[in-house]
Amino acid sequence: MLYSIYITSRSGSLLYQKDFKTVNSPITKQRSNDYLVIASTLHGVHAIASKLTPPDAVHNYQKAKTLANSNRTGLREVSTSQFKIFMNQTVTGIKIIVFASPNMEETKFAAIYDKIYEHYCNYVLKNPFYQLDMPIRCQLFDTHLNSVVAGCNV
Amino acid sequence: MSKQIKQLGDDVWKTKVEKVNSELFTLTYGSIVAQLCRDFNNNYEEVNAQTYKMGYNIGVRLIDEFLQKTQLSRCSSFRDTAEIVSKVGFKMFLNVVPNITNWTSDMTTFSLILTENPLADFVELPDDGKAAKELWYSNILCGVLRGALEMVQLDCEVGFISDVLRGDETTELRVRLVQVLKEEIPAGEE
Amino acid sequence: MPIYSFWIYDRHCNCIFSREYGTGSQDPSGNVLKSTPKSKGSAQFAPNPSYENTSSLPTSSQSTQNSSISSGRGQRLLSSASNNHKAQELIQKGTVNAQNNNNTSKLLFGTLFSLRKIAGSVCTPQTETHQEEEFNTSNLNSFNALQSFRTLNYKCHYYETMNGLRFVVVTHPAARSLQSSLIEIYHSIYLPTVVRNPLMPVNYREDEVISNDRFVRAIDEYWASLEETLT
Repeated sequence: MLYSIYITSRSGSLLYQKDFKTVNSPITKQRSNDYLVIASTLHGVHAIASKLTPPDAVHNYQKAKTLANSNRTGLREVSTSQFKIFMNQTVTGIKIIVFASPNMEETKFAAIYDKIYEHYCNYVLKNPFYQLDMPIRCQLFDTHLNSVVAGCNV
Repeated sequence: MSKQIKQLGDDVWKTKVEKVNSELFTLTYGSIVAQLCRDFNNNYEEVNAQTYKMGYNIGVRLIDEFLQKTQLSRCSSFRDTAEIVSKVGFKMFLNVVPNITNWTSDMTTFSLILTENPLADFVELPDDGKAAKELWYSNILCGVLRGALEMVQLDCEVGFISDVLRGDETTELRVRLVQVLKEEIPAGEE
Repeated sequence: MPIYSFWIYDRHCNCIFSREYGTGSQDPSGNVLKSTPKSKGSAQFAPNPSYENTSSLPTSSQSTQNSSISSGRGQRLLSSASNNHKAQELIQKGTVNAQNNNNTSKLLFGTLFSLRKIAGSVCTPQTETHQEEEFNTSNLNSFNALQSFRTLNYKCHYYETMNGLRFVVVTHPAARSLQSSLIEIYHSIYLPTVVRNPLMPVNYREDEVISNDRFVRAIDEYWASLEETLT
């Protein structure tokens, strides 16, 4: 089950945030300022997590089965008792962050990430009126994301 | 909810707590208080302060024991806290269940009425005309409560307001929530 | 499957125990990392190099005392396998309480602190009364709890008790969830060797750490026994 999607720019500012009306979602409504804080915190923690790599562990990622993309050493997954947070980073530095139910697998997230990235390219970047690094307000993107989420929450 | 809490208290008492001989317990505490009275020349204010301090030091450790044995998660209101203190805490360590009454309307203060007090078996206060007015014989309990609650972020004032040993009708302990302590943040983060 | 390090933070956000396990040549893939050589021999328990610095403080003499109290439940963990070869090997490497105040320790705490804040805040419901709000927004509420975070290189497991102790272990990224192990350490090692030890403090002063031998040994043996079955 998918609860929320965040997209942040390469500098950590929030470009897009949406909480979906998923049944039994534990996520409660926050003030809009709080979303900005969450996004920038995750952005920072992502980098710090990379710094915290134990010296003996620096090459473990080479054996990882999942596509590392450009998020080789940064934060990838956070588990809490109510939900999981997955994050991945495109080569251009955009972060796609997904809040999902605790039973979500990494492989499933990878598929969702691909879909979201594809829609981002199609309906955000290809939109001539969209300015880079500005908040995303594109209706087509919204509808396509909704269908991704609906497909995943069935 | 209240029933489950009572059940939990009973279970923990039956299965997880090691018991000691109650005379040993009562006499040990009694001799400590008596010794304090001698050491401080029957300055009962000071004796109260000392037993409170001893209780506090017990409480800050006892809370770990309590959390481990009960596996409880956090209370969502002070009313829950009162229930847990009475039906699990007192039950587990003293095998008594005080009644909870006299809530103030803002729900920050309540009373625990101790119908039985294992500390005070066999006790008669000294007949010097002072003890019955000044000494809170079981004051250690207040300290324990205060210490344990503080460790779970509840800053409380705890004190006796009456005691059958003094000739009062009931033994009543008053607990007032001063504030829920804010979480400490790492130095230099703000 | 290696365990890299183990940390305990108290309610005042100070690191009161840190244990780093060097795995060095054990890297199973064979791509040997000739990183900076580990300072071997710094892992003797007491006195430990970093500890000596603080031992002039009047308070720290308490913490070197061994506990003489044993508990029913902790006994198994505490007495077993003291001559376990594997455990010895693990213990030889790495450091005890050498990193409590360095950047790694602080960054690790900061990371966990931020993540658990997010975990808690997005699940906190709206409240009506002031007291409810106080209860809900105080730390340690039970709406949600951080359990772990992971990168492709390592995984960091987290457990927090209600009175604010935080247990943290860093392992290989493929490790299973170690919540239960951290809880067991709190119950079966921390409680009997630290809480029930009257000579150990409840509130640690700055630079005061857990250096109690029984505790350190029990922790080392516990993790050594777990290394095999980590996945």
